[in-house]
Amino acid sequence: MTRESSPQKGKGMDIGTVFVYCAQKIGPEVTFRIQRNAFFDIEYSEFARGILEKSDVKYILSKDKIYVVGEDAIKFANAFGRNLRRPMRSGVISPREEEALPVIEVVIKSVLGEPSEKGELCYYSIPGTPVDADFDTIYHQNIIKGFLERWGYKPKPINEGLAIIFSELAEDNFTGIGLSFGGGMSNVCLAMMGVPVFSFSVARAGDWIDEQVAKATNRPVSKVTTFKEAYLNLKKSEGQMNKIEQALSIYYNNLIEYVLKQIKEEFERKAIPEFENPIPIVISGGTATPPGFIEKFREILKRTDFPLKVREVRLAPYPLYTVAKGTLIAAIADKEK
Amino acid sequence: MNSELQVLKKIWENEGKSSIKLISNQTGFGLDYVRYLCNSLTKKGQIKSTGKRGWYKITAKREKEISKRIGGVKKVILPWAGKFLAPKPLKVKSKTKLLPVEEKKLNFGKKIEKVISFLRRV
Repeated sequence: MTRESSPQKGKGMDIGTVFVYCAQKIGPEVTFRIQRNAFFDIEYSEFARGILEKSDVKYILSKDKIYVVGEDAIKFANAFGRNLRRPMRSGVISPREEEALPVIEVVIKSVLGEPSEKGELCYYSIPGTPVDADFDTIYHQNIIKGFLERWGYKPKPINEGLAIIFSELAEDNFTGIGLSFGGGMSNVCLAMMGVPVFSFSVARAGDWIDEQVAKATNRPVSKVTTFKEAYLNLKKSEGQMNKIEQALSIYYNNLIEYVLKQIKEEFERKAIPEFENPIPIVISGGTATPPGFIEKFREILKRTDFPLKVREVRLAPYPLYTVAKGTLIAAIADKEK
Repeated sequence: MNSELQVLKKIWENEGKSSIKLISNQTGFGLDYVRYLCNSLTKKGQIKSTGKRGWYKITAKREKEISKRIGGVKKVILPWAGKFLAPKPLKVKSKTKLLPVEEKKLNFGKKIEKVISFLRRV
């Protein structure tokens, strides 16, 4: 391996409710390793084990169960007609899943790999404190820290919204709002010169939209999710939309209005420094990827009495990779200081 | 199982000797009833006093009989049951010991370097 293509020390991780990303700089490229943060369990039997072996499906053995983890779990959930299980919920380790810890450990290890040296720096994203839910992120943060330390890394947490600012707002002196619309949570961070003024999260995001639409249209959540990910186009006019699309559009509106309302309330709660110039808002996350999302956001922002002057609202160029890229920048910049 | 047998079983399980109070706690029988049962078992030569007040132990003769009976029974573990009885640690079944992951390379290198050098100056 040439020096040019050797991996640079320091890794960044985006630990999301639906996917886990690890970013590493190798030469001029950034390599992202991605794993679906999901699993599916089957009762242990030699027969089931044999089938998995033959299909070359990677699995985890437990006392009396077989766990299929990652992307393959979706296939099995569909084949068995059962819901996929998730080790994380609303941005943190799920208290509902007993097997959450061993599964999330395997998922993270699969993308992170071994450290290049003992004590290699690894920045990992954590959600902001939720303003509308009765839980905090301390347990989640410390469990992840424990895993990383055990594997020989030096872990450092970074707020998800701040990671977006590091990733996308260098030309604005790291001043502006970073917003991520993920699966379990929406994260907000307002920063001035790279220093967070405030950051928080709300427990509404992609999963919440899916659940509400499923209830409103009397369809299974998984079908709504699949439709949303594959076909949703928010640019369509209302007349062209079918029932699910209409419901999705309504709940997308509601989510954006809700997040903007929470930002306004945060301004009212805290003393905010004055910004000389209008600020940029940069948006990332899987829930923000359907065509027409940004236009919808701009439209709702326009009719909102927003407490700051906004210069522009834009979608990050690679919205799914933005947080991981930001954590990587933090790791390399920190290491070289 | 009758009451005398229950008392005998408890003494056996408590490593061959036990007090009336302990047997009473373990069986749920009253203290006087346990004392009565112990007297009866003593008369039958099944147990005897240890010398300490309220404590009984199984007689050598009775112990021999029980040992003989247990010795005649072999503990059988079916070969296929072994793996279900022993708890298995979570382990990933894969040649690489890791789950397969999706990989994507993006040409961010130079942009990132600029940002990092800026951050280093701050």
